Amino acid sequence: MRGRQQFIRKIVYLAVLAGLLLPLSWLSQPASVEAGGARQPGGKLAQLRDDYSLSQARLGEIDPVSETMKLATLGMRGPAANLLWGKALHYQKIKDFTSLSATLEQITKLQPNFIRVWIFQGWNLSYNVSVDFDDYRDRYYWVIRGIRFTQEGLEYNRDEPTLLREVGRVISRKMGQSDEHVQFRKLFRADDDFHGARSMSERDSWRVGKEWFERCVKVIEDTGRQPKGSMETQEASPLMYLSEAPLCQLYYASTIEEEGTFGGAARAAWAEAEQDWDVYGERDIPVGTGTTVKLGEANYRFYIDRVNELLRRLAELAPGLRERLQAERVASLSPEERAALEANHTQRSPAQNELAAKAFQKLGVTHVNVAEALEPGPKRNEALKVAVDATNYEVWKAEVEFHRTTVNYGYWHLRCEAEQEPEALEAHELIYRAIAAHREVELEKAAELYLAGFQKWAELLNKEVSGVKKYQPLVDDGITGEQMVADIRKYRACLKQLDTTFPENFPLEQIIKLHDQEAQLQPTSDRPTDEDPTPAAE
Amino acid sequence: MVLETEPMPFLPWLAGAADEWWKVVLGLTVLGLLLALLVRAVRYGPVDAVRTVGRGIWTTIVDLTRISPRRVLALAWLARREALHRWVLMAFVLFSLLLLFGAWFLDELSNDPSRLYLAFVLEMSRGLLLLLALVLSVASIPADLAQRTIFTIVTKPVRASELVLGRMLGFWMVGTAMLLFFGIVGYVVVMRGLTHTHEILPTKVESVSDGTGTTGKTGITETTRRHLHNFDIDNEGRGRTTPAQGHWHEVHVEGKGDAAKYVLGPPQGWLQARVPIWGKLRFKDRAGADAAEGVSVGEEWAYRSYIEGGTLATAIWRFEGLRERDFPEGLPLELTIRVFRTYKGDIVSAVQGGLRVRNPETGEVSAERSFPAREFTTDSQFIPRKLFDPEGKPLDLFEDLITPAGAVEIELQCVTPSQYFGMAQPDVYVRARDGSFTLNYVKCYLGIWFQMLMLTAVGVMFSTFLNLPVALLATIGTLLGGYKLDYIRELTSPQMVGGGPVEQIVRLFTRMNQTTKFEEGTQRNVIMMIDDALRWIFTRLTHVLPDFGALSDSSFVADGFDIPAARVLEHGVSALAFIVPVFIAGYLMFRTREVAR
Repeated sequence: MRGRQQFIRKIVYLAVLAGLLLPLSWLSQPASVEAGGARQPGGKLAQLRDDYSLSQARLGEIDPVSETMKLATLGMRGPAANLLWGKALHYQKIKDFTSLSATLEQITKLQPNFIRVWIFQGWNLSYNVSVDFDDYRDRYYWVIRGIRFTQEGLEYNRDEPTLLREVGRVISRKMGQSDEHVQFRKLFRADDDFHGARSMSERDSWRVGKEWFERCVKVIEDTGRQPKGSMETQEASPLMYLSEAPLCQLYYASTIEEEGTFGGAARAAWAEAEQDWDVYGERDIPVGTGTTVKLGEANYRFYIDRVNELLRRLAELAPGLRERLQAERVASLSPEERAALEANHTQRSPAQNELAAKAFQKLGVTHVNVAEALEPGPKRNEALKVAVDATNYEVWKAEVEFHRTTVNYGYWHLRCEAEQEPEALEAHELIYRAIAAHREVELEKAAELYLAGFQKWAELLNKEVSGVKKYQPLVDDGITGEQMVADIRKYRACLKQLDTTFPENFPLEQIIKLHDQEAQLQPTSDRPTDEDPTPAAE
Repeated sequence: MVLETEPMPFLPWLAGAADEWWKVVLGLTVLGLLLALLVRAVRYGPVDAVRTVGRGIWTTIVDLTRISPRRVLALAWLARREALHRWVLMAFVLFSLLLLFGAWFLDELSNDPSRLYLAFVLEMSRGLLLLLALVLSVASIPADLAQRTIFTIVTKPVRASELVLGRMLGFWMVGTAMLLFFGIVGYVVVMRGLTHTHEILPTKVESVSDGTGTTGKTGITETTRRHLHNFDIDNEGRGRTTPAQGHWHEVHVEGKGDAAKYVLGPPQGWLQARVPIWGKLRFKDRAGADAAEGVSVGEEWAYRSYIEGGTLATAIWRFEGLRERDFPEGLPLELTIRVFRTYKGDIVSAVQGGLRVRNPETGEVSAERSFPAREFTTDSQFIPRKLFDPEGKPLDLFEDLITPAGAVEIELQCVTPSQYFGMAQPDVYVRARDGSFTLNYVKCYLGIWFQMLMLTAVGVMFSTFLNLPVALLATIGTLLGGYKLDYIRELTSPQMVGGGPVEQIVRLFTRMNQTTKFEEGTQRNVIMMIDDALRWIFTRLTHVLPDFGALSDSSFVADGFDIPAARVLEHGVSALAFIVPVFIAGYLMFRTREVAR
């Protein structure tokens, strides 16, 4: 009997095992591709891996070396990676960069899907290791090593937007804005190994950077994946990453003029920049408040006009009421509050500051306050509606304004338009030729060309479009001002070498007054200073 | 190359090492004897203790002096066969596989592939061999004891010393065979891995002329292994490429006219074994006064110190023993200095340096010779036989600038103002000659061999009185401790920031800053007392642990420097001096086992 019971029990176990195979298969069957190309999704787990992009094949390349190394650590991949990080830091400290780069390769084999490894070490090679070298060619080599390192990360993490963005950032910023940007851009253009089949005309660092940023944006739009910010736990701001490709085009247009490209090619570059910037401005960009904004001129103008219109209507409905309310509130202030408000803010005591703040709040007359002050009736109702609308539109306008200021949208838009004007194109060319002549010690020619260039700038800044000096806001802007002051200082140096004083009625006197921080370029000064720069020989 | 400790001549080293060795051995011997006396005295009384220990000493002397080479060899042969049964052949297979696919693990974009290949092969050989030695040495005796096969040996007229020595010798034989295999295969892999050539397309070759006619040709090779070279050829069709990735090629032309073919020779400049003559470095500060060292530019690694450009700051190397017959044409000087810019300045131009040669006795000095500084590469500055002084008077290197005893001073200055040159003593040397790379490679493997001998001895020693897992852990601990000896010395230093081990633990858990002082009191006193005791123990331990790191010479080979014979001799003496006491300790421990009585 006992033997029979054991036998039956074994049969039952076998039957249960066989039965469990069915749900097991439903769970674990791998995905496959049949003859003919039809793809079978596989079991539930395979489908979940596919949906969440968890499988190595979905993440990126399956690397047998990486898998072997991970297995070889026998579950101690973490400690092994820690040891390697320590070694990498040691090699960097003792400047053994051959061993450093070899160690980084090993780290990435153990942690191929840890994005921060690729980003940090790619940046480390491009920014920290490169500057340890004195020869700029060696520095370029290590900048490219860092870029390639980050690009390699994309093979293991296909379409990872953070990595795409990082590649674009290093190519555009390091090549285009570092101290060695002149030399780097030349080397970058000549780097056949890096570019492969890319034509010479497309080998500009800004353009290549722009390509990578555009690739990043496309991945974000297609997959919904967001790039990470500087902290692993936060996402990058769409306001910033969407602006990067258009900014590359802007810097490209500016840089090629510095390098001696003018006329139609420069104009086309600025036109493309304007177009890119407009496209950026027309995007609905999610911002931190949970809403979206459009930065474009038309949208911004709409908010300005709407607010003005509503305020005008409110003033029509309640003429003089705002001023009367304001006066009443001032009258309601206590003498101490009034005294605190009237005192110079730098001389107030802490108690006075507090009083002044409270008083200031009391004085604020909102649009709704104005509407509410009307007598009840249809006019009051309309005024209330207009007041609420005006308040809302002011808030939205402020939001758009804030984000436009963040990316300097208005300035760059105006700059794109200005740079396409014939005066601007001529001004750039004249200044470029002046600098070249100055370098060749053709001083009189250089002085003439400088002055002609500045006159062209003045013509542009005073140019009227539809009866308005459209480009006057550029005068106030620091970026434009500083660039012009830098050229003016070169002109000053040239005059000094000619032993000539600065001309009276200098065409860009306004620029000097607004942006010359050190007050050394006052056109009325008789004695040139010793600190004006002479253009360096290339 | 980086040499953080100045190499010593052999005899002075031997004197210092022997002094320390006998103190450690004597101390351990006395400690052991006292312990044995104490244990015996507690159990059986002092008289018995003295008698037993005395008898033990006599037996030990007899056993050690009457070792039979024949029996030892027989036991060694037995141990070798046992090792073969323990899958030691798998190590051959594993090594071969790793080398075959080693390229997968290497950085294909490396700017110095020879260094990478050599470091990879040498480190892998060392790692695998030591792993093998570890496993073999600790497993043997415990396995015999567990399986009781030890009785088949101890019942024979075999001394305990012969048994222990036989095991060691057998495993040494296996390890040596492994190492020979690793060395030969590794050598072939390195040679094959680095051999390459480049194609030269005629369309990428241009003629060069100087107005009087064609002076030669210049061109660019095709890219192979992620690099290419520019090259120049003279009118006779011979030339050389520019260096890239640490090497260059000879170029010559075969054929003429349209049928001309440009042929590149094998890579050169890799796989060297420079024999340097090191000098003694001293400094002068920016005012020209003697200084203990240069200035710091804020680097974390203080191996190099710096001299300021555009000032009187100078780095001076004094070389001795230079003979005219060794350098009839002049002195081949090589530099690997660093550059530190305080401002970018002219990015395209290198920072300029100046070299002078001075007679340390007469003060005669040559005119300054300018050169552009080149970093992270070996800069050759040949000092010719015929020179000039600053006034233009001709000088002879050996007659005017080098003393009869062969001493000379090389003065290095940075010329560009506000920039700095960084240097350490080994950064400037006279390249006396080139040794054989193959011989150098063999010398490096000798260092690995010595490490294997030492680790095997330790493993067998531990296995005589510990079971397998504990012996394994103890041997691994010895290995790790041996490699981290410098780190342990740093930890035991009273200058260590944050204090000793216990203090550091307390600071860690209380989140106390490393520089914050502990409050005076009982807690502080107790912590200090324990830390002092731990420091004492660890300091003594550093005298006992084998310095495996010092036996590793892979950096010499990878950086292309000859391993001095004195260094190999030092390794050998160190290994012998370590193995003998370990063997004796193992023998004594084994004798305490019941099975050995």
